Amino acid sequence: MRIKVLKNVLEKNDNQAQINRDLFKKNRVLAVNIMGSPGCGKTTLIEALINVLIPSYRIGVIEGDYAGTVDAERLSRYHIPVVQLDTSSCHLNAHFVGSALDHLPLRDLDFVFIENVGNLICPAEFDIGDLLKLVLYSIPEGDDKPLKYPLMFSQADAVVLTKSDLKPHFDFDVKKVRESIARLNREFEIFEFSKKSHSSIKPIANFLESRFRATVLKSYGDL
Amino acid sequence: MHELSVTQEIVNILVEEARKHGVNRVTMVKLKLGTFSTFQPEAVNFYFEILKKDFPELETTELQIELEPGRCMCRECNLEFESSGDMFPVCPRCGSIFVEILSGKDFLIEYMEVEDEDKSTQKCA
Ligand SMILES: Nc1nc2c(ncn2[C@@H]2O[C@H](COP(=O)(O)OP(=O)(O)O)[C@@H](O)[C@H]2O)c(=O)[nH]1
Ligand SMILES: [Mg+2]
Ligand SMILES: [Zn+2]
Repeated sequence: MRIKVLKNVLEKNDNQAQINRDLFKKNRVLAVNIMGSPGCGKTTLIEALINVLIPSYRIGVIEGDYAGTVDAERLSRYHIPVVQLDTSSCHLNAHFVGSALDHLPLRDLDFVFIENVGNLICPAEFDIGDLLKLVLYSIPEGDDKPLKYPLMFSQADAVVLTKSDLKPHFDFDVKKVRESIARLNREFEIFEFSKKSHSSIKPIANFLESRFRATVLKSYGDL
Repeated sequence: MHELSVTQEIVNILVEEARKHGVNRVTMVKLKLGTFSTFQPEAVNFYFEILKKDFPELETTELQIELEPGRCMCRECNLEFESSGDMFPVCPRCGSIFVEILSGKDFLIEYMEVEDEDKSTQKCA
């Protein structure tokens, strides 16, 4: 006998992701999913963003990368709410993030930065309920990454090329990167960032601020 | 590597469905995997053979994973077409490489074949 099932394998995850997303919207929080391989500079970028945004915005962080509590400790000096997840998985899922939301004062926050597990494949398949996806990758990783991890780059709202101070040491063709992402992704921004250049964080912060105003304040303002 | 958690989900759904329908034995499960998904069928099968051991309903279950083509649309000439290749489809009409992926990223459990719960009652009916 045949029994029809017709269920999406990721249904439970997707349902929880929607719950998370609704919760972010209701509290007018821009949840930013930060993805990229281990060591590409996710925590460094989060630190830089906190530095420039903190005078005007209220920020929380969900730390999902392995690395024990190292990253959470790095962030503790900003005296903002940080939740360290103990995932021991190759990606965050919506339930992990949902459990972290119980420990964040969402109503008093504007941005939540979610540092995903260092990996360019797995996090792309699992919706966590974010409202914006930043994909990071560092100059030393080479300019062919979008061709190797297309799903990840196809979903990015913005791609940040990190460690741009290392460009003189690598043959890295930014134009080629932009073109290969454009094949997959109709609308994305591309930024270059170096922790050694204080001005390089500004365009990224401006982008997040404008998305915050457009997405969170405008569209969901009447909730 | 992310196939472990997705296979766990498949097992959970199958056990749930089997119990809901009072099924003792699931013999076959038909899954449809979009061509643009990153999940590897071999890895799903590998984990399934391990995970199914915990559930008597799944003891003899075989997975059949069918790759499903995705729908694409050319951004230059608007042609809609099917692709069963990788994430970089090329328009078959104008050769453009700027192609929108419309569908083909899903992983669906379509149906399961089960042993009829109680053959004796069926004969009587
Ligand atoms: N040269 C250079 N090194 C960087 C930059 N950003 C991060 N790093 C270094 O890369 C390493 C990994 O950074 P981290 O932020 O911990 O990466 P994560 O694993 O993605 O969170 C650290 O040693 C950083 O100091 C950068 O812009 N330039
Ligand atoms: Mg980190
Ligand atoms: Zn075309």
